[in-house]
Amino acid sequence: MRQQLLYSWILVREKPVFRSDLKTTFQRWPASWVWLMSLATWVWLFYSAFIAGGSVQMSHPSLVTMVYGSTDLTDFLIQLSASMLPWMLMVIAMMFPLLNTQVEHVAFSLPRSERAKGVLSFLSGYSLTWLAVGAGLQLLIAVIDMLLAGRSAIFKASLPAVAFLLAAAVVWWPQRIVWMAACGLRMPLRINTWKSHLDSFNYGMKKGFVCARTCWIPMFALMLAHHNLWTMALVTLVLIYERYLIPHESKLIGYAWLLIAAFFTGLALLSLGQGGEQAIPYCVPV
Amino acid sequence: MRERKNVYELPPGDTTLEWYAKAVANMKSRPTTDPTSWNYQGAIHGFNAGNPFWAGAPPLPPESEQLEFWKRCQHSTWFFLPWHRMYLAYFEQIVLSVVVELGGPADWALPFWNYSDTTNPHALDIPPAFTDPQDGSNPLWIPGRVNNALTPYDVGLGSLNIVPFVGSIPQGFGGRETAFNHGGGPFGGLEQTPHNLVHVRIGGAMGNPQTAALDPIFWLHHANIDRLWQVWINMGGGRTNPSQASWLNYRFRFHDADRNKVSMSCEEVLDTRTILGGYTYQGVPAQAPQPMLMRAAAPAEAAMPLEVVAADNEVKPLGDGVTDLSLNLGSAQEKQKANLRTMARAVQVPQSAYLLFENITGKGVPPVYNVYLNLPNEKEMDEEYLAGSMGFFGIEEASTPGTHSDGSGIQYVLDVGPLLNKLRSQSNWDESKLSVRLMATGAMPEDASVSVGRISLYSE
Ligand SMILES: [Cu+2]
Repeated sequence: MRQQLLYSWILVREKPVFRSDLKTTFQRWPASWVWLMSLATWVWLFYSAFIAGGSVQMSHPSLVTMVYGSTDLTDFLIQLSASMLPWMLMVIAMMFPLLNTQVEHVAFSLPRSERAKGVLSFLSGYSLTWLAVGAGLQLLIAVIDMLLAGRSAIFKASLPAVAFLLAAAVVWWPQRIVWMAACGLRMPLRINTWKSHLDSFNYGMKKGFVCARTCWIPMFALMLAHHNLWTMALVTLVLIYERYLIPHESKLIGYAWLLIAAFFTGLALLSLGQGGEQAIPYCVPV
Repeated sequence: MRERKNVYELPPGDTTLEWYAKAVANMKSRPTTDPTSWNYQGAIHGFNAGNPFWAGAPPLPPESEQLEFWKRCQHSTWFFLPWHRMYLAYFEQIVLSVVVELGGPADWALPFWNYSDTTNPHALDIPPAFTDPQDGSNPLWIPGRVNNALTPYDVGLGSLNIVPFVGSIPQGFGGRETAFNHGGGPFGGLEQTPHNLVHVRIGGAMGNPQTAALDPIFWLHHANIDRLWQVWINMGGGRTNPSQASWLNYRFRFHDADRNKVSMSCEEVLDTRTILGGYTYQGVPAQAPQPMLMRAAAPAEAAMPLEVVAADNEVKPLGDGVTDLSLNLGSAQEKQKANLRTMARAVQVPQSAYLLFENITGKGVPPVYNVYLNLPNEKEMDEEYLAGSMGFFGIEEASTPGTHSDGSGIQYVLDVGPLLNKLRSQSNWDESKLSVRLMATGAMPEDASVSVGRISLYSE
């Protein structure tokens, strides 16, 4: 364990971004652009939460309210896409930094002139998959809402804890190692202009599927926790740590999810004494 | 200090191989659950319960122990050389302890098979002690080997000319920078030739990492690969091991001869004289590694990667015979075309160029394939135009999603710079098209197949 932590520190210290100028970094390590996109999203999220007077959590309007509250189909679609915005921001902020190997694969598979466009196509395909996953999870929340309607508020309050507990349990499921190994997936890309974009897009969608398969539960837990920024940041650090700094068969991440689950359980219990649903904090109160 | 000797130069009456055979037989009689058994040692490299070579192995150790100690071999990574050095060191310690137990010499050491020795007319043959089945009673023999002799192309030592240890395109001597990597991705220079080709040419158990270490010749092959690492270092001229702490401090876990769980870091295997009891190679001075003055300093900046100039994604599955394709250099960007033209004129300036084979997937042990560029005569396999040979070692595991594999297959990188520079000076050079021929050098076994996802040309 101590050795593992020390070794992780060595890896961080050796990251190229800490040892070359920016221009070389971008040419040699195209993934640094993607990290910048993620960073910008984080800045925006924190900015809108603290400086622009928002909240550290964004809530999804429930699907049920959307269906009954919309005037027509267009209105419904607008509301639906608006409700996916926090989810997609979360994907950019949290998932993009995990794509180093794939972004490099796309960039170096293509001629220099096509690299940036190819990486963008890849990211679009990747985001599309996550968008579909997000919509599916919205639906799941609607179902859960319906099931829990009229029941004690404690059920609803403990949802994030349950989800993180589930995430932890999955870590010890043997199949997960195979899914983690699949993160390195590579696809052969054609280099002709439009075909290269099609292939990159395809590759992005596939990679999105592989990622969502291992990461959807913690992401879902965050959705249940109303995208609480502090929890998001913590989960991101855990994911980056797992992706780059420890062997793919390590179970460390399971303990992290257990800790977060324990934290949310505590919050849910705290809320027990407070009565009405309004008083129950879903997540970290600020 | 024990000396690992050339198996073909053992003096008459030498007992190294006799004791090796006795120890192997003894280890084969131990149950698979014993870390010092032949099966357990083989499974550290790779294991597949469904492979016929593993049929007699059960009962097996518990899943958790398998997960921790089995299927650990490192391929297509800068850990390839240090991991195998550790693996051999503990294996040798175990064999030595068995030899001593059986009353053998206390200075027993693993011999090496120098197949590249052109002064030895038998160098390409598997040493005779390993090939005579003696009605199946010879512990050094294993059924299923496809070839008992290598070809001169399998054992070329061109990779010793690669100066950087780390890299994929341009290729490094030792492999590319990765985390733990059981297989998949591009190989390092020495790993590709002779290492992979020797494995695949012998075939059978040797042709697949999941079974390779069950063949007693495996250990003599890898002793030679380990020796070549030392030979490379001794050549100097800027050849150094990686200085990154992430390489030096990476640890792998094994069992020692007393069955204790132990671990070793890459830094601990830089000098063979300090590994376990220490060893040297016959005929190779064991120079201490260059002092690392700048231990904590930043590693040298990786070279700018080369750019893709042409690619073909329509390659069909490779069969028994030949597969022809042509890389359309005309589809390259104008600038690159201009580059190629400049290259054509300035023949005296060597340009680096690599042929990359991506997403090579398949099953079983396909034969070695030769790659020719711009063959002038369709019928004649002129070695003048040979770009290199490919042995798809580890193809099955790398093609199947599993605990250590994403299923995208292996990659091959052939340095075609010198050949292209030569072709460019010829009258029939067509700067818009490069024809590539892949030719199987043996029969495709019934249970084997191979296909390539993309073939591309990278250039400066
Ligand atoms: Cu090997």
